Amino acid sequence: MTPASKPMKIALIGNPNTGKSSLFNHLTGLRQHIGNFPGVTVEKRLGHFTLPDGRPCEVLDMPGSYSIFPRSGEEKIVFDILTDTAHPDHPDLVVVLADASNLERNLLLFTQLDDLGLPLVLALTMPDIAAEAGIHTDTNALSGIFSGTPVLQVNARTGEGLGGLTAAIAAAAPLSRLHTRHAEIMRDMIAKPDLQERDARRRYAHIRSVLARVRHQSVSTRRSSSLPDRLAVHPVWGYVIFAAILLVVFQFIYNIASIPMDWIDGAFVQLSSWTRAHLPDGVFTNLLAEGILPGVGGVVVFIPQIALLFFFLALLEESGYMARVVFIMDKLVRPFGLSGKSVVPLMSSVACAIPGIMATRNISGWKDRLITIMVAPLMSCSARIPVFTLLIALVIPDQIVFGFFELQGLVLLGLYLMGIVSALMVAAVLRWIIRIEGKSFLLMEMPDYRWPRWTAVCVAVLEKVRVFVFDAGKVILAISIILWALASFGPPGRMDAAAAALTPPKTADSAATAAFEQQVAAVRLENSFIGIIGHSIEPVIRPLGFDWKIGIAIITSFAAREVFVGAMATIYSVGEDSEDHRRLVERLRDETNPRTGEKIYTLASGISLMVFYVFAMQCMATFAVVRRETNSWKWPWMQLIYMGVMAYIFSWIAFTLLS
Amino acid sequence: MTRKPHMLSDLLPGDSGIVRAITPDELSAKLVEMGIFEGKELRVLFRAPFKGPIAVDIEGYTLSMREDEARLVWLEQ
Repeated sequence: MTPASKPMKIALIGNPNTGKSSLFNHLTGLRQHIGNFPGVTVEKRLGHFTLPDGRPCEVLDMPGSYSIFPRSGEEKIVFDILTDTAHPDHPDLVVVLADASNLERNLLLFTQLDDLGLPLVLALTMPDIAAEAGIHTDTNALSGIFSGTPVLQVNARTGEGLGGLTAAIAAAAPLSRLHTRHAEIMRDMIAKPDLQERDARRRYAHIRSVLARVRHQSVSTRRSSSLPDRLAVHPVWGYVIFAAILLVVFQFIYNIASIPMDWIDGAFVQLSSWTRAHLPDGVFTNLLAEGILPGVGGVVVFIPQIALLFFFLALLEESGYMARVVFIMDKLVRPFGLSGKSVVPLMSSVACAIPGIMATRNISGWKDRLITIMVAPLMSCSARIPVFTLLIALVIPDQIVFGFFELQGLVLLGLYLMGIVSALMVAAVLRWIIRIEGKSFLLMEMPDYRWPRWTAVCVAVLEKVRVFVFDAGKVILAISIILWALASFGPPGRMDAAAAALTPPKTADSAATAAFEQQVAAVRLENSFIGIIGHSIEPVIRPLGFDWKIGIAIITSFAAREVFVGAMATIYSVGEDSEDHRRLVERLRDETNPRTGEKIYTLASGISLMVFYVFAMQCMATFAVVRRETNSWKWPWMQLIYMGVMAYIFSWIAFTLLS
Repeated sequence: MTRKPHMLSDLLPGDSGIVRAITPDELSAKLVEMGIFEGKELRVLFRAPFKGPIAVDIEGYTLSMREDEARLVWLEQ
């Protein structure tokens, strides 16, 4: 790339809730890319647009900040980018957004950046809200006071004033003249909050004297609590409203997301069988039909849930209601070491831990966020339902207890409660174990209620889907290929020999052929590497009441919990049947231990297996998403291990107590 | 009208006061950066149930904070 065609680099920076994301969306449309800054979990949003004079422009959306001084090691990335001219993301020009209705606080960050000597453009946003509050700001006078820095008004919601902004960007001299001495002083202040505090007070005194000259206010901005707020934080109605909203969201996710999910499942199954039928037999076809396609399907199948959940979460966020939920839930979850901001991600995890974990981005403290990520998969997600239903049908009698409670329903409820309670308990323990500096705080702005901006909602949904598919998707695909290889290959000749030992049916009867094929699939799986691993872990899982067949199903269902049901059907060669898996349940009821003659699936082993699935991680997509969101391999492994250990201990307790 | 300083955490919804001092703490710089400093007029809008966080109007915008965060702010009514 020649220097002439090198895009001009612009950074957008401002307080939270100043319309920064709206402006970013207006400028770039969908020409944006979301990733992580290397080494930290701060989201990096990069976009492109063209200036009025035809020059290309690269725009970086900085995380919303009140001050240049970071409150955590993670946030230091903003400081580093702005104060290091050698940083690859160092901008040629910084556009500072300031809420025109709240200039005093918003100008704090501006004066800090101004002192650094960075080339700036000051955009006053929300001019309509300021006008409503009777605030008028003389932009020319303000520009004069800040030595000619362009100051203009932009409505980030409607895009009004956008032309003026791009013209000002184009006209600005993109010459970084960073005051390195000032940058050094500020760097020294990072570890000295008392100096920052004094500095902020001094700046506010200056800002007040400036605003006294350029701002006129005709109406008082004093406000009182509104009726919607009195309801939203009411000790009874507040929680009733929140519960009702959750109920609606879950109804949508369970009833609507399942429709496209079934299509996707069906489409990938057909694609796999088409591949098998039309491509020549061989390892490559098998890899494609049984490794890659189901792997891709396993990624795509999550899209409806992620999209729907983030659609609702974006609505709650955009409307301002989310801040009220955080407000009323904070005190209730504090005893468990969680923050009010952890509540919605954890609730979302009842549908699926993947969007739940992705929703933890809004939690301000890294420690609070990490703990929420670590316990989210303990919340019973929808993928556990098929496993629980199968096992409940198998070992829990269909009877009424205490007059009108269905015993099977009570057991299911108990499993859900076990997940929630353990998530809270583990969070409380992790609060003590995890050593991360930085006090947990709630201090945040509570935005006014407003109509959601649909572009912002759509962008949020697309972003999350894209991050999941392209970042987590790679890990999911890799794991699914490994699982395929383990299930399709065994020690040389062993699988074929075992299959050849079976006697094929004499008749050409289709039922007999199908039964034979199921038997072949079962012995092949039994003699594959997964089968061998299942056999070899039997001594380890026998104290839990499990045999090697369950061992195989557990290993296979690391792909996703619901795979357990299909794996059991293959192992017991009953094939996949109707929704209620009646044939599988009947087959499992008859299963006995060849040595002792006792039944394998008793109340004790069945409950033990259910408890195992309450705790065990058993989801490669969660593993991949935790890897992505924590930007490290350490935390997904820690999670896999602690959940596995808990699953083992509690299953053992359940089995020992009941048998 | 009393001259005695109060902690922000002791105020009831509807009460207001002028910030007189902020107790030095890990969070005090953050409080100042978010616009709570000497001379600002604060007003409690509402409180969360069970002695949870409080919502405070700061001359035109609303902040929510936990009780132990509000305890750092001293006001004169």
